[in-house]
Amino acid sequence: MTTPLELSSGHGDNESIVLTAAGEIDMSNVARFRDALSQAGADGTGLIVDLTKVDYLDSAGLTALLPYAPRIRIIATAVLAPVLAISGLDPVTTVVTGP
Amino acid sequence: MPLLGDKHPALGLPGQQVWSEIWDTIGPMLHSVLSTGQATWSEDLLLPLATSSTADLSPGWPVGHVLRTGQPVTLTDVTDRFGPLPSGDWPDPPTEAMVLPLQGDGGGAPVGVIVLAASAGPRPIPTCKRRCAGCLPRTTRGSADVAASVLVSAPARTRVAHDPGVPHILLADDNADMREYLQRLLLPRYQVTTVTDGLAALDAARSLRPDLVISDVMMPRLDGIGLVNTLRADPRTADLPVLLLSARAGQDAAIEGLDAGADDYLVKPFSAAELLARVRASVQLSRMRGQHARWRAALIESLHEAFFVCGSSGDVLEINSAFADMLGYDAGGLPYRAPHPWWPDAESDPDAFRMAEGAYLTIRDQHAGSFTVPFTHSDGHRLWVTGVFNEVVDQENGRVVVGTLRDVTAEHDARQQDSETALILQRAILGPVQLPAGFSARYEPATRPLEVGGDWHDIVGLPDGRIAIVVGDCVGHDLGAATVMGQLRSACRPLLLQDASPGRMLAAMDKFAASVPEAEFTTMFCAILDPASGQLTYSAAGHPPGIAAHPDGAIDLLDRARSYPLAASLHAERDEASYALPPRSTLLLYTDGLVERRGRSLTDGIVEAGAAVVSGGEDSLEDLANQLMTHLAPPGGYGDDVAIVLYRHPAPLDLSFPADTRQLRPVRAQLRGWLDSCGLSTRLVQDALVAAGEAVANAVEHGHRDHPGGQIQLRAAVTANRLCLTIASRPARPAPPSRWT
Repeated sequence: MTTPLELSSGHGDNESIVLTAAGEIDMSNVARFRDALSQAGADGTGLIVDLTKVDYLDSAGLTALLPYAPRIRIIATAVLAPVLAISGLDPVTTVVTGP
Repeated sequence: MPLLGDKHPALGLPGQQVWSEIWDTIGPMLHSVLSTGQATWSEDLLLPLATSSTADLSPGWPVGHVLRTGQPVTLTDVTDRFGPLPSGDWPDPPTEAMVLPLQGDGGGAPVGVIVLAASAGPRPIPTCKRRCAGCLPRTTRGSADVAASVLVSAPARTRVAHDPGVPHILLADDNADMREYLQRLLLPRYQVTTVTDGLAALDAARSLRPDLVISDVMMPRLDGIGLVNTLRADPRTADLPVLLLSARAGQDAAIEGLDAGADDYLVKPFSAAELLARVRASVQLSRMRGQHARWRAALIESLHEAFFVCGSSGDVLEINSAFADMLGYDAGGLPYRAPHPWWPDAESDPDAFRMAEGAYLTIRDQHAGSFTVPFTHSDGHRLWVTGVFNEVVDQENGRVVVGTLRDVTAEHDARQQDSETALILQRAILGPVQLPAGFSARYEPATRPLEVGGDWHDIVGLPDGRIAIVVGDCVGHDLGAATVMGQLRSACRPLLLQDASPGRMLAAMDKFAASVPEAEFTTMFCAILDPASGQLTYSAAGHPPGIAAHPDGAIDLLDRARSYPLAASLHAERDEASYALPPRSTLLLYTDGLVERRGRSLTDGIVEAGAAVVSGGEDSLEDLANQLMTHLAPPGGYGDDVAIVLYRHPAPLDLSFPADTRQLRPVRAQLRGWLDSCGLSTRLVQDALVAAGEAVANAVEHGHRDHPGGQIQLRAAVTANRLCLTIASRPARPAPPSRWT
């Protein structure tokens, strides 16, 4: 059984695409996360990755995020902030109060 | 007039009657002698002496020298019989003696001769040169005015020599005349042994143990001063009185002699009276000392226990015969210096040797104490000995230690037997101990080498996942207490399995304990722990409170729900109290042996134990348990049984799962649940989750590639302020442990 992860995408403000994830991202399900990122970011426009409902993210998820680093914005709670910061993603990350 | 008055001291008759035949002649002379002290003898005086044969002597009145009847006695008659009067001391010709007949009991024929000698002081009395029976002059009056001797029968000299009641004098002088003169002076009342130099005197003093040594100062081989020095240096003769005689007049010589340790000092020429007076005083002193020493020796010898005296360095200086019997080393080998010959062999039995050496150091360094150690008899057999000793500070000898030894080999062997029995019993009662995670326990019986006593602990997993912890303490700590403990401990388990309530369990134990001999007043502490939440329910029966040490150093005592020891009050209801163990806190349950010390309040002991648990907050439970058992122990070890149970909340998490990505989430969920119970910050929890997740993912990858179907082990443990995660893949190499603080 892979780790449950719900992924959905839609359009946010300024025509940017928003990819929303809910659950946990690890090695077992990172492929789906990578695919979703790839789809959402295919047109090269601004991409917002909403991780506020993700309560676990490790290097597998980070590896998926990093190629998009120059053009994404990440929204996450304080729980993921340290991991994102260590990976150098903190400039593009907005930390919000958790749900 | 004791001699010539109403009753003759020896004959029981007035002198006038005894000497009726010649009284007219001698009466005035005697009175004159006794009143004036002037001699009555003159060269031309012929004494009308009435004597008789020895035929009809009364019984019990031994034969003396009897001169013939009816003839005048001259000095020649006397000296023929008795030899010449001592030269030098008597006027020559003698003018100060007279010889009188001595009449037997009830009158009749005289049975002896009386010689009266008078001068300014007591004089030597002539001694019979023929050495026949009964020649010992007996001075019946020795005052300064007159000396009178009755030459009657007296114990033969040989008998004198064997009479322990007669003081024994050792006389050392290289001058034969002086020896003979002194011997004559002394022989009437003293046993005399003569030697001719200091070395011979030394040997004789050691072997004969005389009452007094009279020694000339100037002697060959070893002089008088050297003799005194040597005698004083030897404990066997240090007390022996010594009277020095010297030709050297003057204070210096006297001081030299007295400095050397002589008791008295006489400068030649001296009068016989002076010598005898000094001798009498010295002998009396010696006899008193001797009596004291004999009394002491008799007392010591009468002790059934082995007795010893040690000097301040621990050397054994004195022992009694019981000591010699016990260890096979007698007083002849004294002093015994360390290492004592009865210590076990250091090479073949180093432990026993160290114990014996330890006892020696205790005696040397402590004021009082006791010990039980193995010794080796001179014939090689091993014995166990209990010693008790006390320090005595003596004015003469400084610090000495007196002590007794008792052979406890039999008790020791019995205890050894007990211990083996107890070990079997203990294994039967306690069974193999597999503690649940998060627990550590120790048990230290008071009676070594007994491995079981009256204390116990038990940790019982309950069907609902909770854990019951019991610590109990039966009265006493011997084998008997251990059997009671076994029954109580066994009774607790089914009660707890049936009804997991500390209060009701203790109430049931009240009833049970009342039916078990010697089980009354057992104290118990029972707690039921929910390991998931750290929630405790507990109740105590006369037992000291549990201690919960928080990670910040605070301490809570589990001191509610306390009541009497078991069976003390059957009608009492047992309360229960609840306590939530804070995350990363450590719980200590114990028996009072851990905290009870003479001269210290129980409260102080509990505080100290609490502080020890706090300071060991970062140690593993096993290390902490060891520290508690060693650091809290009093210097001589625990005097009572000690049982402790430690629990740190939460217990470490141990997971083992297949190296498969599908395991990631459930493992993470378990770890998250465990981390939550550790009371850590969200940040730390997340860091730990990520770190563990990375390590597990790594292991899964390698597991798949190198060891399909391999297992991964994850262990998470927490101390007061430290979290330790260990992820290892089996059978692949273990990952290094990761730590966060």
